[in-house]
Amino acid sequence: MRLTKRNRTPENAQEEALRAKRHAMIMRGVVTPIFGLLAVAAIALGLLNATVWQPSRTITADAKVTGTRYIVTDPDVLGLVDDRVTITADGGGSGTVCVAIASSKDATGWLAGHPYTRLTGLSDWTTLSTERASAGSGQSDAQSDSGDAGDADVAFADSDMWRSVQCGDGSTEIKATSSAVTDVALVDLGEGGDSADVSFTWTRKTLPDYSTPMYFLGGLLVVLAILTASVFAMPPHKRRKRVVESDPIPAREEEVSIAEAFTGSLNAIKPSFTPKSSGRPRRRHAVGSDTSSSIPVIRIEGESETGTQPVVVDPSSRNLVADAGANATPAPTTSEPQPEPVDDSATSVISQDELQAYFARLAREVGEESTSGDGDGGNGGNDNGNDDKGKE
Amino acid sequence: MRNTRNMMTRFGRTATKALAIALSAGLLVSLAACEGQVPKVASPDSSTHAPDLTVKQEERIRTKILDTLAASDKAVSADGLAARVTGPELEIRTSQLAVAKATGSLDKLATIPRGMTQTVIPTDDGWPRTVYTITTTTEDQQSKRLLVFTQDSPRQNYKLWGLARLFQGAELPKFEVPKLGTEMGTANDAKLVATPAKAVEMYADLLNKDAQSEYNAKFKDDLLRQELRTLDQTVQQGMEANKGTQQQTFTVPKDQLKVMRSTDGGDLVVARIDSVWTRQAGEGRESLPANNNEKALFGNGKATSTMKVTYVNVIALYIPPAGGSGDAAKITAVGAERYAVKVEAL
Repeated sequence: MRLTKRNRTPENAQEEALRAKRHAMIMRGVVTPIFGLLAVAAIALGLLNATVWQPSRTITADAKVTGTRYIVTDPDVLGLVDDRVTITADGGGSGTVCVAIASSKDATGWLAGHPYTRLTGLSDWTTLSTERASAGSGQSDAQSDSGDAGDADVAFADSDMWRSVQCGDGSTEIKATSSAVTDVALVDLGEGGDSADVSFTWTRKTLPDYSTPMYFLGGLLVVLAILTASVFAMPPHKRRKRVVESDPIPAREEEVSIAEAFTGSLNAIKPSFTPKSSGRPRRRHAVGSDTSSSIPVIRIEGESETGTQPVVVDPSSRNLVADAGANATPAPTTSEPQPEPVDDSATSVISQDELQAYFARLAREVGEESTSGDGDGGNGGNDNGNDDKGKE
Repeated sequence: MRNTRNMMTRFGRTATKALAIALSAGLLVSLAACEGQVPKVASPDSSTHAPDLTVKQEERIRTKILDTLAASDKAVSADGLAARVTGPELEIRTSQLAVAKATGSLDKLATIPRGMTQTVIPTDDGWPRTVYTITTTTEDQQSKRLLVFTQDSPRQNYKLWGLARLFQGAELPKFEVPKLGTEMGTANDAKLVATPAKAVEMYADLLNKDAQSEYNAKFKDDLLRQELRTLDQTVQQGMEANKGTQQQTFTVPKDQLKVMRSTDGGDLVVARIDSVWTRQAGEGRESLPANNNEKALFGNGKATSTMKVTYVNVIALYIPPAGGSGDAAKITAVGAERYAVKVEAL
């Protein structure tokens, strides 16, 4: 065994003290302020994000479309930012502008054979990306011709296919809430209309939260700053307990392994579940008692054979020793069954040999002193004792 | 001694590391845009077969159609009816309105209840599209109506194509709920006891020949056939009394049927069957209209010895899937509509 600071010479100590001082200075003078500043900055950023820089609740993106009468969104564009969206189409002129919410297959059916512009998504937070789509093949024209040739097509606003439709003079606005993924918005700029400003306004129910992680980071930095100013600034020998270094001690043999302890406790518990043949209580922790099933209980009988002194009887105990003595006087210990001797040795405080010796001694003493020791239960003994008392 | 120094350097390194982590974390967060990432469009799963209409849309369409019908009923004129009514129902309704004009009141059987008990919405992407709607019973406890709406092209609206009054106690097949939608069938659907087109042909043959038809065993008896049988016998007796003749001929026009697939694999077909009833009076007598409707349609026409009455029939047939036996394999008529549209004296 040797101590860490055992061989400390005066020069060494001085040098060490100097170094510790420098270390503390760096920690308290440089690192702590840095952490502190960072913590303040993080918390300030968090505050700003929660107030001035808070993400806007409404997102408005627009696109200028020219060249086509119809403008249609791609599927999923309606619910891109949030379920609730307001679509505004401004034709700029006086023609009737209509916006409809429809399923994409219905919109495709309506648009067949006509050129249109697709709104494909957000290119940034304020701009909708667009894409020109050429007129479909002539197949759709043939299809509509093959229908009821005599019937005129219905007006855009009158079609049955739209989930909802709004029309206005020059511009219009429609609100869509929780549309299906396949739902699209279809804008009709009317006969001759070919340019419009389409804008989508989403109202966000949940905003991205940047302040909470900032606060968290700030908190961490504060903790770090405190630690650097205190614990980390101390010289190591001060903030540590004096460690006594020694060779590793091999595990003591008497130490009980976990498995052994477990099986031992199991064995101690097991007998308590066995049905009690007699309703008498047992004393678990009586002197000399084993944690295993057979529990010898010493009854203090004093000098009962003289009868001059009161007999002290523990009424709740059973004189197993006396039993053993009475029943098996010649060989009291050997006749007793030894339940699971291996486990006993693992848990018992008194070793098997000691116990046997003890039994043998006790049996002998009892055999000598009173061959007529009351082998009945503690109740009878108790009554007797009381009677004796009463007589006296 | 060395231990302490090691500890010192180790500690220094840890502090630097912690500092670096903290700094980079702070930098990352501050770099992130204020609004967050611009969301990207997810390409939707194209394999989903969404129904063509919502229940709400169906209700709106049905209301519009019934409003149009109510308006024409009120005006007792078929003008403007073509915008929302087509096919056999347009002819029947026009005739009903003509009769109403002559008699002063619309036929009780022409009533269409506003309530709905079931609607069958297709999932098909193309056109034409068909929607079946079964109404409630009428206020005077007439049977439910099976309404057939069609949309011929995307730039057309849904129109009432056919109406069949369901027979009392008729058992309709089950369809998918409107939220899931039903697949439309075609006239040539296989895996049935007969293709829809063939089944309609067979039924027309059955109406022509009744029990003598070779297809008699393939069909269950139904109310329409029973009524026609009774009518035929009554008229036949009258005709025989004056040595006249009468004949009713049923023909199937081309491509006048709508098909919907039920969940059990069968098809519910609504088809148009035209019929011409020719009655020739004997012994130089005049042949007169057989009922009030015919009388109203004939009006003040000059009766001759021969009367030819054209009827439009709409029948609803349930065709069970192939593989059944007994009654389960028999085609059943579940509803029908029949109305005289033209009465001529030849």
